[in-house]
Amino acid sequence: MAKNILGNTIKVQRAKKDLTQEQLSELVGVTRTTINLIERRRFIPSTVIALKIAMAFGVPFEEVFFIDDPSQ
Amino acid sequence: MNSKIEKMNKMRRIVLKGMLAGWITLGIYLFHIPLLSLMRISSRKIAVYTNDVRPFLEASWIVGFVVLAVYIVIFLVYKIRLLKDSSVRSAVNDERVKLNWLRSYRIAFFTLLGITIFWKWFETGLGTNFLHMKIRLVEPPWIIWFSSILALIVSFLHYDRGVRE
Repeated sequence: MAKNILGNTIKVQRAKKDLTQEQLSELVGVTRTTINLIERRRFIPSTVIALKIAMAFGVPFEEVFFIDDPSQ
Repeated sequence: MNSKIEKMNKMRRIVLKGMLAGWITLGIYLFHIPLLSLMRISSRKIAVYTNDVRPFLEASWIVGFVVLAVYIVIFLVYKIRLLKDSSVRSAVNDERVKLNWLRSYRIAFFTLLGITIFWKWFETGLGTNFLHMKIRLVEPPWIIWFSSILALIVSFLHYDRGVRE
């Protein structure tokens, strides 16, 4: 069974809002490295951080995060 | 321009790297007797330099102590700055950083366990037959503390390195 990965559209959302990783990290209250690792799918954030990211973009949660199933 | 969070994050890495440098320098002093013995028994070419190297190895504790003291002061400045700003404090110690500390403590614990088991094996006499080093001249608790703290700092710096853009 293929492993599900938490996909995200952070890069797209950042481009839409013209935000750098550093600016987003300040809005969310985490380090830039954390944002970078979440964006690159190397770190799965907690629900709180994920919700804060969605709130920073002003979009619903599911527009930023989704389950990325490689088998589909 | 770097934000305050990034500045503090960078400062922590600098402090940890400085402490690591100081700790390794202190480690050189800790292991200087076995190191010198190893030099003496390795080959005649290297053995000639034993007396030249000895003062540097013996002075390494002063260098290590000074470096460590300087970085402990910088660490205190870092902590005071963090205490003044709670939002920066929570951002610098976000969930990923806390997770990295936990992983590092786990590695340090297993290092401690591994070294202790190795030392017990070494003390039975089997080790001395295999390794003709005067490592027994170093106090066991120092070796255990040295390696576990080294493992803690190195593993945290490794986990916290992030990825290049």
